[in-house]
Amino acid sequence: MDMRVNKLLDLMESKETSSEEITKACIEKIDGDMSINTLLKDEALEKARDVDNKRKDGEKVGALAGLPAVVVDNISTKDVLTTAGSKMLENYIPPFNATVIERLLEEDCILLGKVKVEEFAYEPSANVERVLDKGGAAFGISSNMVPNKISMKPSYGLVSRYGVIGGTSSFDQLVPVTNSVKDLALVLKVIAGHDEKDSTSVKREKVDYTKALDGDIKGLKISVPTDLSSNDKVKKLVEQLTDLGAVVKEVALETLKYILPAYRILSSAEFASNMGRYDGIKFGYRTKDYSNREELYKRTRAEAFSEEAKKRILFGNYVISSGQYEKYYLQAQRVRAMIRDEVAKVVAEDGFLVLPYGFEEEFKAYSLVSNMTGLPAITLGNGIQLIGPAFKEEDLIRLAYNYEKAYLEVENNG
Amino acid sequence: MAKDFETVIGLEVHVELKTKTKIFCSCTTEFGGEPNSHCCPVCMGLPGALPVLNEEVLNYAIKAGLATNCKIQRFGKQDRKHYFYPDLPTAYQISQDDLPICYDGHLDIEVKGATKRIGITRIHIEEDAGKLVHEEGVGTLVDYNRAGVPLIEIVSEPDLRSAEEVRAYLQKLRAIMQYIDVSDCKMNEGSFRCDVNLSVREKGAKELGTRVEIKNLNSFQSIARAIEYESQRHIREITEGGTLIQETRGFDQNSGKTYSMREKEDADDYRYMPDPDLMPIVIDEAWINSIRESLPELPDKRKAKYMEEYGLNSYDAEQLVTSRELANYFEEAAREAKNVKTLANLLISEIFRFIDLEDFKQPFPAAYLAELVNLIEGGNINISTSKKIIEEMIQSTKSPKEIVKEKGLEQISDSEVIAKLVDEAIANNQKAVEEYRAGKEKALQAVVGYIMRETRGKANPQLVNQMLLERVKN
Repeated sequence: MDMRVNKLLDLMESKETSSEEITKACIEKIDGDMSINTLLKDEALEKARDVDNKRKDGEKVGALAGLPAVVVDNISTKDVLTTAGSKMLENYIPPFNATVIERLLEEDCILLGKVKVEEFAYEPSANVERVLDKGGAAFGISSNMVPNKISMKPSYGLVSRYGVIGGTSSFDQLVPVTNSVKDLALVLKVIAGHDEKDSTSVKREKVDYTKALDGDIKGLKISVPTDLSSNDKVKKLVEQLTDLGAVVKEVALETLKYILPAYRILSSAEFASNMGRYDGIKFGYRTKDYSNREELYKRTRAEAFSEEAKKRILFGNYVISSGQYEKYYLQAQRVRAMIRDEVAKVVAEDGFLVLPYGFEEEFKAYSLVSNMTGLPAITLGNGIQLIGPAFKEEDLIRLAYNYEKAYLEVENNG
Repeated sequence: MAKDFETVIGLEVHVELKTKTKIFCSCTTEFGGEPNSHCCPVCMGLPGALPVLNEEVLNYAIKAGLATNCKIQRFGKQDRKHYFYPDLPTAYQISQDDLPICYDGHLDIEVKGATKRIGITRIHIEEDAGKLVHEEGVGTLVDYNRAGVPLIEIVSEPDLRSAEEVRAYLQKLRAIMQYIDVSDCKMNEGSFRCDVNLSVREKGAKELGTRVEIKNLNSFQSIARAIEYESQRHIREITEGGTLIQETRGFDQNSGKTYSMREKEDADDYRYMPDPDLMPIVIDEAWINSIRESLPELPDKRKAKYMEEYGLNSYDAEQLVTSRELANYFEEAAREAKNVKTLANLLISEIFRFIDLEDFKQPFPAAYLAELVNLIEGGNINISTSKKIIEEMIQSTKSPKEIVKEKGLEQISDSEVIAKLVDEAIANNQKAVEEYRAGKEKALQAVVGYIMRETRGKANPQLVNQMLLERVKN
């Protein structure tokens, strides 16, 4: 089945298929899949039938009506297990929905399941990509971009973080993952926008990203770091975009080499701080074996955090401890500002920045650029990302759509 | 020769702001309530819940800063102060580290007839924690109703030197907070809390002595007692060659003694860091000015007015402005009273002892107080009768005039009646009169006393004196 959102919506509108059928098909594909933490079979089918009935009765339905979607398991879902990939929250059932869930449900989206993430989503995961590859959902919301699908890390502050169980507040930003650029535009339109529950969410007028698809990219500027200009994937993409009329410029990026140490310091500090609430007192895991408060804290945290998490917590606390704060945390903040300034200047003056994207160690620094800078990025399904100026998602979508029309359509239909 | 010592004190005062909702969520700030009934995912620190600063908290903090002559930070931030305790849901308190909303202020206090200026280092905003409830047979439970209630912490310079100065400072500070209406300042409900930093040194010494912090002080009286006790303890240790350690001490109300809670040697490292979930605080001139313009008349202004317009002395005027309710009460009575000095005297020396000055509630209508002053001024009653009337007024809801009428307390100012009384008194106190005539001026008091007894204090004292003197001199 062609699982593109827009195709599915057309088929449901023309009654050639139903949400129930689509949802059933998705469940068959991913029931028991190792990427899934919770599959909401009955709830999803019941909701699908509701949406089908609404359509049958000619009632007005939402923009994502009847589309089964998966979200990562660090997004709070009311009354549905939300583990954030941690033993700490193995039994945690939130009493509220994340804002992004509310927005999906308002548009009659079917919440099909929760996708596994790494512990508190600190490391990226390809599980949403895997679910989509299997045809297990129409789209997904991930905590990171994926190399082989259309996915977008929006500008920091565009999509509410309320209810997202994050380890690293200033880096986290939810990512829609889709089978096409058109789908991405629609999903982003639904989830983006100011949320008064999130102070870091920006106040901007709502944008209809589906209107950003039109227009060509003739004369559009793109930039490539000099040391990457001979990278095969980058070279191919640049050639393709040049064929579509884009103008390429090679740029020198001096600060990218500082990304990893700065990221490690800042993200660990935030992680350590954000993990404090997991103390066994109010929710989540509590050790069975304790005789006083100190032991309750120590054993709970010793038993439920992984070795990796413990290392990050220790390191994170170290870099903000008195005497070290200026040397590490503050210095890393300055470095982050330098990186942001340099990349923002390049994307504003020299054009959209083309960089590799992947989970492999060699790409790690590139994959963290949008987290570090808060700038929007899009992946085109080919191990490449494009980074744009803040809140220029429309331009990124237009560029990606042109690219997709020229080079990806065949694959999708095939 | 015994050495002279000096106690050096700085205060950290936590004032709970009376905003309707908590600092980072829309839960009510109301005191009490069923445990954990004023809570939501944000103030419970549930995973994924995010704080959003209640702007009213900034308004209140700026108000407090302006009212204590502080400078206001134009670009501030909020920081996480990390420590583990079950009443702190996220294991960090959102507070302010290096950029407090207000800094570099002062207020003036009145002690022993002199005015002293006390520096205010800073005022910052922060969230309150919940509280632990120990229940017999169940264990320790946590109530998060108070978690997230907004606080300002007002830190003074170490400018205070005695319990008396501390009391004057706290009274002034509390009065200001009440005047600007940012807090109820109820010590018994914890909305006005004070930690004392204290050290003792030889008078004239430049270096400060070993400092201790005293906590758990829940009344002005405890604070004064704790300071007295702790100063004496330091002086004793110093003179006897003992050692003092930097530590946190509690105060036991029953024994009147302080006790060690924990040593400061493993100095707490709160690992402050900017809260990445909150945006920087930006305050512009227009905002500050609009708050400045909305400030009510503050205690010092009223005090100056009382001294200038009513001729009160500095000490008395200070007494009357210690709470806004009291000052309002005084002013309401002053509008009707024929002599404001008499009014102030009555209030301070006769009425204060019947009322709780830390939580002023009018004992009877201000109009009655004015009426009472006017009865005195009109010669209808004398001062000693007024005391009886005040006692009666506090018990009942009757006006002074009603009481005077009912109890027949009207002053006897009829000179014929007085003349008769004087004659009778002289006849019955011949010995005293002779002593007086022999040069013992005081002897005449017995004669006056006799008249007052006979009239149950109602005789006009001036008239009695005057007529008695006329008679005995002739």
